Order: sequence, then structure tokens, then C-alpha cells
Amino acid sequence: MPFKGQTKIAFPQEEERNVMMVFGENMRGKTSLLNALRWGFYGKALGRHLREIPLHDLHNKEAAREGDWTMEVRIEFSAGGHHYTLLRRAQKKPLVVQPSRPEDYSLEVGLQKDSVAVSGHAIESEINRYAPEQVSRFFLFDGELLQEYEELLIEGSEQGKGIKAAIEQVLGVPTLINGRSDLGTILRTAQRQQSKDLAHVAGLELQASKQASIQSKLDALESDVKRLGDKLAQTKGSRAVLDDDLEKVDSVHRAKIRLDATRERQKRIVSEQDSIRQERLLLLRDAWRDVLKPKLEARSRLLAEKKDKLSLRAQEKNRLEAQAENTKKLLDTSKCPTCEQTLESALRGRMGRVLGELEVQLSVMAVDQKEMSDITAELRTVNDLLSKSVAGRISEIESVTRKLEIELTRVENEAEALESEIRGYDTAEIARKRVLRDGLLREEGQLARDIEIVTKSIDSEKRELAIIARTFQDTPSARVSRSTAMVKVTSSLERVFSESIERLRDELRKHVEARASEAFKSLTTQKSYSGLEINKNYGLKILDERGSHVTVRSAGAEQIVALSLIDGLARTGRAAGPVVMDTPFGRLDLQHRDNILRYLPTTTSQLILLVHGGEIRRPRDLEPVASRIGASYEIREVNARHSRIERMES
Amino acid sequence: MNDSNPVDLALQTLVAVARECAPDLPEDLISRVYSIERAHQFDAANDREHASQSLLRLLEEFIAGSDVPRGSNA
Repeated sequence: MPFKGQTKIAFPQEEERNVMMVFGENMRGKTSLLNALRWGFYGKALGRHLREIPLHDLHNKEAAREGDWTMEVRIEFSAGGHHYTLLRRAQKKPLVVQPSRPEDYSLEVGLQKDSVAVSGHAIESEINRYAPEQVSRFFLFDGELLQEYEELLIEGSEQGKGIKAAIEQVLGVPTLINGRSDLGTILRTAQRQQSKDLAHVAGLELQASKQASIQSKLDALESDVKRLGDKLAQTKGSRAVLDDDLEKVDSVHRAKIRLDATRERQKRIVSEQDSIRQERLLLLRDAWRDVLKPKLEARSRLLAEKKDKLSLRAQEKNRLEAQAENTKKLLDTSKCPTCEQTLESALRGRMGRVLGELEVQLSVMAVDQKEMSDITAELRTVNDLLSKSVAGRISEIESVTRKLEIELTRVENEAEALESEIRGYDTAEIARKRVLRDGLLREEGQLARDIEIVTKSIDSEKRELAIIARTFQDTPSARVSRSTAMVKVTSSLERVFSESIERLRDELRKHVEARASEAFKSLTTQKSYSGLEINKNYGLKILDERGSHVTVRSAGAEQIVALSLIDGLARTGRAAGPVVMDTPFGRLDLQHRDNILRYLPTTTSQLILLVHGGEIRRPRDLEPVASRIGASYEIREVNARHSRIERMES
Repeated sequence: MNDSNPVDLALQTLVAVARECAPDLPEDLISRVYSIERAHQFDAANDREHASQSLLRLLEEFIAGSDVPRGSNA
């Protein structure tokens, strides 16, 4: 807390001038002022993620250095026609030198109602009558948390479930849920008494005994549900602590994952470099081929020509041999093979000469088969040597080697940066906590399923008891017992409370939807929007002029919807009371901010706005609300550890 | 501070449901049970003793005021 010494703030008292402005730049103490009120009422101050700030961290450091170890908040308020003075004080215990934990302080809380002290045990319930802690988020609210309300639109969201529970608190649903539960407890006791009363009544012994047996079973099942519920709450608590711890080191965890991937890449690059180096060595072994390449190419050409010539000669020889063979056959048979006519002698003579000439040509036409196969083999070897271009591949390898070197340097630099980012953190511990958190999440799921199963069994047993109860009510001898009368009236009341819960939820949703829509239409600058539609979780969707959902919403629109919901809830669930808003205009443009400034003072009894210069520029931006401002304060910095709240003259 | 709920939808709902499923229950009894629960809505879950005691007293008074004789058993 940046405040020390005594600071007094008087809230505006006039109905028509019910707005109080508190100006303060970031880090001056606006949220601390909100926390001072919260601590005064409930003995706790909340930090980021709604985590409680330990008492010893609330103490002003400068005051502590000066030896002042007492913190005190005094709140005077009126409610229900009574005047209250609430005092909460924390003081260093006498034997403690330097408080380092909440236990090092002694705490004192006192409440006076119309100048009469309220006894200790009744203080909390007296405060809860007018400013219940469970719904304090709706009147002591942090503008930075407005985005949380978007979670209500996400089915199954854990955070959304928490907000829904808070909403139902402000709407009064727990009154009926608690009523059902309290009546159920009384009913059980009454049924036990009824079993005892009727155990000796002739004709009812069996039913009474059965009733007693079901009650015992029911007791065991309810004890199971309670045990499982406690375990679930404990598991959720442990998981929330781990979630918070992990969120704080989330960047470290992500850096560790990136570091592992970078190291892996580093290994692969080194391995690629090794294998490419080996290939280069092998290529260099055959580098002589490239020196001989011109000669090999000439030799290849020569051999190819020789081979072509030999092939042509072999073809010619084959053709002549075939022709000689045919001619010889013709002469031997003296008949034409086509028309079977006998050859004339003159023709035979000419054929004989042709054969003779062919034989002369063939006798000089020698084809050396060995030479042919030698040339073919040599040509293959030469071409094989030519096909492997060592120089080309070596050039490729050198290019790849350069790229790998560059990448390796980049990867090594990245790894070094990541290592320095996670230095000092126990990444093994983070990994362990993640595994633990995941395990707890699974356990939560299992416990919720177990609770559902046992709850179904309880419902079934209760139905059995209801049947027996009806039997007793119809029996004249049982009807006269007081316990039967108690069972009858309590079970009827329990049924009424039970069946009213869902119906109330439906009614409340309709009311909240209508009132939030009214607020939304006053606050939004987009006149084509026709209103809001509520879902089962009290999440609100914007409707356009045709009644269709507006699916894409700006951050500013989200904030307006959230403010409309809060206003709708406040006007459905509670009478207009004081509302303190810390930094409520964060994401809003000027027109929306003006709309809010005009609208909220009309729906609250006192509106206290804690704002910084980025939200409200004085005096220009205060014009819409100027006539309603009853008090203004400014939080001024004395030094980094000390701020002072000063009243501003209007 | 906030004094009361502007529109008591919860009580209206209880009375409407009672008319349908338990017409014999007097509206006044429902209203008194609801008042007790409303006063104790924000009591901690493990501190329902005050609410239960108040409810029990109310129900005993109601039964005593009806036809069943005090202390009677079958």
C-alpha cells in the first residue's frame, strides 16, 4: 500500500451529486484504495488473478521503516436505517521484530450499529446483510477484470462457472439452494423420528424398518458426496495454486520448449555437417576424373564412332549373307519360290553371276566380333567415368556447408539467448508441476463423475423415502404423530424449494436479459444493435437490427456488454447501492465513455470512479457528468513508496 | 448500502410453484421460510446451524399451531 499516516475520504452524500472522482496515474494507488475498502469489509486485499495479497505485503514500507507497524481502515456507512462504524486493524505482534508472514500480526475487527457494539460472531453476517463478500465483485469492481465476462459465452469454461456462481449469488439463487438443503436436513431428522415413532405401531413395523434402512443408506451416501466434494474442492484449490505458479513461469516453460527444439536442431545440423564432410572426402578421392574429362570425352567420341561403323558393317554383311543364301536356294531348285515356274537357263546364268559377286563381297567383308565387344566395354567404362561429375557435386556441397554454418551460428545464438532467459529457474521443477497439474485435472474429472453417480443414488433413495412417507400419510394411525406432520410439511417445502430453483433461474435470466439490454442500448453508440440475448450461463450475445447474433465483437463492445450485464444483475438482484469502479474505461472510445458517465450515476446510489489521465482528461471529458460530481480527489505521489490522497476543490 | 431486493422474484417463484405442487402449504409459511433463508444466504456452507435452528423452530411452531397434538405419537 502506498498510503501512510491518516487519509480520510468523504463519499458524496447528495442524491443528485452522487459521483466521486478519484484521479491517479498508474502505480499511485487507485487499486490500493479499492483494496483498502475490501480489506476493511472482508479482511482481504486482492492482487492479480484475484489472489489474496498477504497481510505483511500490504504494509506501507516507509511507515514500517519509521517503526509504525499498525494498519487500520475505518468505514462509516448507513444501511437499513442504521448507522454503522466498521473498524479493522492489523498490528505487529509484540515479540515480532520484522513481520514476514500474516501470522506476525494481531488482527482486530469491530462494528458498531447505531453506536452499539455488534458482537464478534455477528459482525460478518451483519456486513453480509448489506455488502456480501460473495457478490462484492459487482460493487467493488476492477475494470481490468471486465474481459472475464466473455468466459460466460464459452460452454464448460472453469472461469465461466466461477463467474456464473457469483452471478447467482447476487441474484439470490443460493437462497433456494440452501433452503432445499436445510429443509432436506430437517426432513431427514424428522423421518428418523418417524421411523422410531412408528416402529411399534401394528401394521407399520415393516415400512418403518425399511424407512430406517433407507435413511442409513442415505446418510452414508451423503457422507460420500460430502467427502468427494471436499476432495474435489481441495483438488481444485491445489490445481489453482499450481496454475498460478505455472502461469508465472509460463514464459520460462515456453522458452525451455524452444530451447529443447533449438538444441535438437543444433544436433541435426552438426550431424548433417558430418555426413556432408564424409561425402566431400569420398568425392575428392575421385576428383582425378574431372582432370581427365576432356581426354575421356574424346575417347568416348572415338569409340562411339568405331562402334557405329562396326555396327553398320555387320548389318551390311548380314544383308549380303541373306541375299546370297536366297540366290543359292534359287539356283539349287531352279524354281521361282513365288510362282513355282522353272527358271530359264539364261536367267540361271545371271543368277549364278550375282551369287559369285556376292561371295566375292562377303569374302572381303570381315566383322570382328571381339573388337565390337571390346569397344562396347571400353565405351561403357569411359561413359561411366564421365557420368559422375565430381566438381558439380562438390560445389553443391560447399553451398550447403555454408548455409549450414550460417544456420548453426543462428541456432547457437538463439540457444544461448534462451538459456539466459531460463537461467535461475528450475525447469525440472516446472516440468514436475505441469505433470502434477495435469494429474489433478484428471482427478477433478473423475471426482466430478463419482459425485454425479452418488448423487443419482441419493435421488433414487429419496424417491423411495417419499413413497414410504405417502404411505404413512395415508395411514390414520401414522397421520396423528407429530413426526409424520413434520415429515409432511418439510417434504412439501423441500419439494417447493427444489422445483423453484430452475424456474427462478429462467425468470432471472429473462429479467437480467431485459435490463442488460436496456443498459446496453443506453451505452452503445451502435444504434443498429437491437439488444442482448442471454444464455444459460448468463453470457450475453449482441443482437443486430434483424435479431441475429453479432459474432465479431470489438474489445470495446465486450466491455460495454460486460458493464450492461453488471448493471442488469445489479438492478435485478439488489437495490441501487454504492459502486466503486477501478479503471473502468480502459478499452472504450470517447463516445462510449460519455454514455457510461451519463448512465451509471442514474443506476447507483453512489458512484466512485478511480481513473487515470489516459481514461479521463480533465475538465473536458467530465462534461457529461460534471453536474453530478459531489467530490473529487487526486492521488499524488510523494515518493515511490508513498502517495497522498488530496481533496480537490470543485 | 443495499437494503433489499427490488423485485423478489425468488419469493414470487416459490409461491407460484407451491400453488401447483403443494397447494395445502400456507403462503405465509413459505414466505417465513424464505425470509430465514434470505437472511442466511451468505452464511458459510459449514455454518448453516443458525438457519437450520431458525427453520426448525418455525416448523415446530407451525405444527404446534395445527391439529396435531403436542408430544403425540402413534
